[in-house]
Amino acid sequence: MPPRTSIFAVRTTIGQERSVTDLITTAVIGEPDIWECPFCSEQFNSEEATREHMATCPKKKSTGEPKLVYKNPLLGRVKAILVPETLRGYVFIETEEYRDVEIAISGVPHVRGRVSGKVTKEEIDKYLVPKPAAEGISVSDIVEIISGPFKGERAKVTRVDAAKEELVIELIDSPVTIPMRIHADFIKLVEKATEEEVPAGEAEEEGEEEEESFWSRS
Amino acid sequence: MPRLRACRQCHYLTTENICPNCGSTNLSSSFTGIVVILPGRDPHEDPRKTSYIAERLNIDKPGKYALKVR
Ligand SMILES: [Zn+2]
Repeated sequence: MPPRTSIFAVRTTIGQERSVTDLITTAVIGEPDIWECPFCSEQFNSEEATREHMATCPKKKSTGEPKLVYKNPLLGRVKAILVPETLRGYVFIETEEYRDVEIAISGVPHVRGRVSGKVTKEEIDKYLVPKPAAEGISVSDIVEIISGPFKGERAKVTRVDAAKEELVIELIDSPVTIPMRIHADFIKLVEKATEEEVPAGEAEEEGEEEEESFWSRS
Repeated sequence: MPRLRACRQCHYLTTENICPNCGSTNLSSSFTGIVVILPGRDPHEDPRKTSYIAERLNIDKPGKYALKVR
């Protein structure tokens, strides 16, 4: 039987996705339930532990039941948190119902709001099964290096190793052309090559990826 | 703060030198995306039975994992 949960999206300050995740995690697991011994008022984190104590409590009376003093409202209701990181400024929360999200994010700094409506399974699958980083990049495309010593430099793609997610690129503004290998995670596509620029035989099949997402839909 | 690394076997995130989840020492500091699988009221319940994300990623123990590890 598939889990009967829903997934919701929360907007965060860009760069604070992980800290929001940590704070929600703490809200869910950091505050255990509190049970109290009816005889001596000593507190425990589970009914079983309270019962165990009650059996030997020095103030033991003939009858008494463990008293639930505080019940964590999120434990067992918030199932998972997902930070894709390929999508900056968003965190996904899987919960039993929408109300759990509101409780989970209340008072959490850097939460900038929530996206109305549920996230579809198809949408979330896009992040759960990430595409190879080099997908959608082909020979002669112009890319920008986003990390490392050449950060900010533009380069032309001369080879795509899709399986290894590696590219061979040549810096555009360099007086000498030095091919360099780079992981596709460290570049971003700036400009697709026009038809003529793609050397014969190297044009790749490309189902033009539609970047439409659930929050851009009406 | 000790650096967070991801286990290449099970994707569990840890600051230790051995993965506390599966015992592997094959850890990577290069990962993207984070998934937190939260425990249920019964800490021994299989999250794959109650969470779509856990089921989809085949994660059988609550914890903090990397989505993608290099
Ligand atoms: Zn592991």
